[in-house]
Amino acid sequence: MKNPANPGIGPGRARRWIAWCAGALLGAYLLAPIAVMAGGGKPATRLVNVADTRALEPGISKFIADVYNTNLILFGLLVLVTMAGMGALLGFACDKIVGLIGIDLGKLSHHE
Amino acid sequence: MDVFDIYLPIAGIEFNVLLLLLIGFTVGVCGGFFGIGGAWIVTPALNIFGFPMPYAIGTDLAHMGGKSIVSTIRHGKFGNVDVRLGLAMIVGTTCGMELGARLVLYLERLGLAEEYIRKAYVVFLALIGGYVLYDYLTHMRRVKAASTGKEQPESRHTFAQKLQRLHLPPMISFPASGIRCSLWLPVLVGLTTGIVASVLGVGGGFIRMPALIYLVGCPTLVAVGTDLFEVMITGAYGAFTYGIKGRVELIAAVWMLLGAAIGAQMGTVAVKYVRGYSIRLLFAVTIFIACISVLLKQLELNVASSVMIVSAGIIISLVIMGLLVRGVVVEQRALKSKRGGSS
Repeated sequence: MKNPANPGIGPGRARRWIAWCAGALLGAYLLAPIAVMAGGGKPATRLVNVADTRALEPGISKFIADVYNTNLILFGLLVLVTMAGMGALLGFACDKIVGLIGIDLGKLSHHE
Repeated sequence: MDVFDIYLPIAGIEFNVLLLLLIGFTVGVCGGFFGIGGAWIVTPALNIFGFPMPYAIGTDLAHMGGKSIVSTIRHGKFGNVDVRLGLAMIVGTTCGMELGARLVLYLERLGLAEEYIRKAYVVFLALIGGYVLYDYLTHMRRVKAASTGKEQPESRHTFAQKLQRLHLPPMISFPASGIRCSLWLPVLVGLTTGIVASVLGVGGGFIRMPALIYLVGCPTLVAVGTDLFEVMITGAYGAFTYGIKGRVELIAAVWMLLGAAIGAQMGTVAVKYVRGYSIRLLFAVTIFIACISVLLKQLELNVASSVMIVSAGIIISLVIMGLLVRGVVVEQRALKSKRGGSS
């Protein structure tokens, strides 16, 4: 039922919007790999994928190198999760810090 | 300075942490300000300081994904990210990149790839830089004519406005950009920029940003934010795909991301204090420097090319920082005088 108090957002429109978003996200999910692989260049066929862990003390570096040496798919996931997680965390943290300086961080008018 | 050296087990080298932070910071500032990934600064920067090239590309792409999240969050809060437009474009971009890759393979079979692609790269950079600069100068002439009271020339429709009028269903509104056009417009623009980016072997941020302005008709700030949204998606997948190929030095990427996050935040906030056309002018200058750098590479002056692009990156980020500091000081003074006036 369309809400007469708020004629702008009817359930039909919301459904269309959600369906559009879902379709676009699915398309992006299916097509993004092709794009990145297409732009990725030649695979590193001559590289020997072994990290030298002999001189490493137990810690984060050793853990990362061990994952790299044992399972590259897991390493790929580790890279993705680390970068995305750090990006989100640092993004929100930096945002808070800049806000504390006193800079007005409201919406901008798009003046040219 | 040895105290800041860390061992990177995957690349098998020792590298200075401060250098990683500096490179990350520099490209973060430029990326947040222009809406680009900045691979053309990071890859030669890492490489000239001794980072092996195969790892330089993967490590750059990995940190780019994280850095773009930082910028996209801030640009999103500024209202500069048109998610609808970004998603529509990414469909075209991905198809275009696949087509571009096939075109490269075809040119390689003919033995023409190297020759044609390098020339096309230089021509493309010169064309984009030239057009953006021409647009800036035209705009400034109009502003000057208006301020001196001279009669302004009749304002004509831009090429983007003409494209927006093409009635090719489905027509769709992009509220964040303030435009309504056929869905095919951003898809086709994405497709074209995707082909070009793929053929040139670059991420494509420096092509997409002006394409969003001059072909789709976005305001400059929305073009910057929306482009970063796309870089975020492709960068995240790039981090994964290069990771499984074993080409990412994760420790280096983490240090770079720490610097880039701060830089990206500053570069993004700096757009608040400049007009869209100022961003376009700085962008044109950056593109010309990149063009000269590619020319130097063609002349096999690789070290000169890398040094030039890295120095240019540092200088441009300093200029952006200067704009940010000036903007903050002016804003704070205005706030103080407002408070003083009201009390």
